[in-house]
Amino acid sequence: MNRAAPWIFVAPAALLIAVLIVYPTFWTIRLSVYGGQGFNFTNFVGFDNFRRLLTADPNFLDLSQFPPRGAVINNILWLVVYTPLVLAVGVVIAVLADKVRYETIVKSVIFLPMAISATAAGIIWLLVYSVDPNIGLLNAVLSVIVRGFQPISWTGSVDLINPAIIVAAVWINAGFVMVIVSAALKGIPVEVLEAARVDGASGPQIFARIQVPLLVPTLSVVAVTMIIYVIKMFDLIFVMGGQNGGPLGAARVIAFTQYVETFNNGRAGYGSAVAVIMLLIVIPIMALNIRRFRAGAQS
Amino acid sequence: MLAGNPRRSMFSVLAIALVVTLVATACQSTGTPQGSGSPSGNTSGKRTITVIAQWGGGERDAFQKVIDAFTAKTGVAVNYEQSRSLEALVRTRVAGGNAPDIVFYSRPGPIAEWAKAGLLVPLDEPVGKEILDPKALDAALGKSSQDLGRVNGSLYGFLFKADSKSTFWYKPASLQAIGGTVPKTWDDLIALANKYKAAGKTPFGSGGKDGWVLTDWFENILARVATPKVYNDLHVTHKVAWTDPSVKKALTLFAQIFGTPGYFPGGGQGVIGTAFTEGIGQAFGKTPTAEMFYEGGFVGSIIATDVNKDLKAGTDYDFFTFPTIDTTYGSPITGGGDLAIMFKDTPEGRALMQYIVTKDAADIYAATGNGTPSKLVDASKIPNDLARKLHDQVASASVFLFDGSDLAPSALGGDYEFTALQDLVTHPGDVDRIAQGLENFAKTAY
Repeated sequence: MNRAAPWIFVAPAALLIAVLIVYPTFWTIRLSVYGGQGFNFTNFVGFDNFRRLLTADPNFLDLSQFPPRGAVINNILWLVVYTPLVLAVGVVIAVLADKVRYETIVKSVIFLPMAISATAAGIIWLLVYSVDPNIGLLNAVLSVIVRGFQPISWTGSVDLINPAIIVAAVWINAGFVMVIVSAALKGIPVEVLEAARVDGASGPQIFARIQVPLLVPTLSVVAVTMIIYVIKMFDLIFVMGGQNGGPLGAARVIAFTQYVETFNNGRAGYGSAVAVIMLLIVIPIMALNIRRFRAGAQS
Repeated sequence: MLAGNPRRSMFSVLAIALVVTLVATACQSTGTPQGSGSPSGNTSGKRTITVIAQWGGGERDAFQKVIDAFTAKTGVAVNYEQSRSLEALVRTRVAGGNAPDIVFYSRPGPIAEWAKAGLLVPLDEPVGKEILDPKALDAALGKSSQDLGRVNGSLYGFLFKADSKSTFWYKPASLQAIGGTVPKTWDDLIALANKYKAAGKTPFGSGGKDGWVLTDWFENILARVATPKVYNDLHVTHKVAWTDPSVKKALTLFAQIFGTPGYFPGGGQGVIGTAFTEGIGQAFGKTPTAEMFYEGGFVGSIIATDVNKDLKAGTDYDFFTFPTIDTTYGSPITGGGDLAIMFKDTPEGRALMQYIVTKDAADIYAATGNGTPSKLVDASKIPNDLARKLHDQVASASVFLFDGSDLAPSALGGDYEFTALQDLVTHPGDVDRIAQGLENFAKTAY
């Protein structure tokens, strides 16, 4: 019984994981080698779905033109633009807010968007970006500042829709980064900072040489969280880009393609193949995260 | 600690088993139909049925009137759910074993697909005990309204709501002010557009962010440069290629009108950045930026209920039939509509299907100003001249073609074609490339 006890305690959690995660995962993997319409295992196609996704689906991956386009490329764009941007904005606000008396107010305001659902945030930003200067804040402001300004269709342009949605995502999540980084900043011993000042270090030097290195463990946790957020990105794009995923499908990301193919187009096998590709991308990131957790636990 | 006490670990196992059983039974009970919670106070013990459709706003209110009359007559309560992503919702619910009772859907393509997968209840079998009496059905609906829901000879659905999609909306006052006349031909339309442009106005509004707005434009053009057979074969079976000369001609005319600078607010970029109702607002909102707006007959009720309640039908807004391009092909009416289909065979569901083909239901629906294909409608019940004009346009059409992209498989007509035509709006010179792209995609979609 001594040996059985741990298993008994694990059982409820293990059962839930098995039913809700492990079983659907294998089901999805199996479905990904079937073609046709609907959730059924009748039309075995082998790796044909994957071949088509990676070589013959311009909305998923199109390397035939420069710059390349497609959902995969957009996910990479999000990764390299959004992740550093949201981290930088969060850190800068945390550090600056740390220096002022009304820190709590600033932080509360910046954190506020976290309390809004992505759908509501998406609609708010759609209004901000509206082409009609009577509705769209951004075009209204620009037409006041710039003489002879023609309103820009921010979410209607193939080139602008991705940056436009990324800005909205930064607005939502910068508060989250800020709160975590701010807590870590408070954890840096005052003595270290005082010693630096006594030695004659300037503000920027303290930031770059002392605060940032001490923040690295926190930042990497936040970075991984944001990377996972990017890979499963869906809601903002659905709200701001519409069911097409933006003009010409220009804002589609991998998770969006999975939704469109599985549910809108009813090609569950093809959609599952997209899900499997997403799983393959997430696994190394998760492994990295778990290794870091272990290292943290040992030290 | 606990592990040291066998009796207590035994107890925890039992506790877990109990919890699991409770959870399992709780999950099960949600799967059974629930008659409670009906908003209309259903006390007869009849099952509440779930109906899903895309209609919101004024269209939803209109259908609610039919439902209310049905509930009053039969005592069956109806739980109406609206979804703009209807196909995704229905597919998910069917896959999850929780299919709705009745669905109204505008795409015969997927309906045929569901029928072939055995998900739908046939309405004309077995002979003598049909859900819908064939005589009553024939009295109410023409052949084309029934054929849209016929798959391999069996009737799975029928048209309940029918809208013309060959309606070009304009402002009579604005037309008069510029000294123009209602265009009868494509050349007239272009001349009028140029006249507006010369007067410093933008002739057309459009909402091409919603891709179906563009497919509707394309289909009206195609119907006027090709035979009905070519039109249907391109969409239904793909026996005609997207690179066919007549299809390319339609794509070229489409590209010409969308590619002309000054025709649409913000040009091609403006078109694909504007959603459907925003597009209506460009022409009929409180601060209009355009003079005409092409889309279906339903635009009228959207103007009246959502966009601008101050405008008067007939004087502030009206429509003309999409102009003829080539006299050989005349002026076919393209149209859309919603077919009623049944996923679950229950007495309550049957009652609703039987009710909506009656004259009572058609009159109630027509009285709201919505289009019905029913032949039983009392024209005096139609509330205004505009709605009567719409009804007459469909009723008097020599050729009625159903919305082509709705006939095609979803991956093509509900997804790829949208992005391809958006591509064409912004790259009007690339007809060949885009036709080839559509053809390549269509080869994988059927």
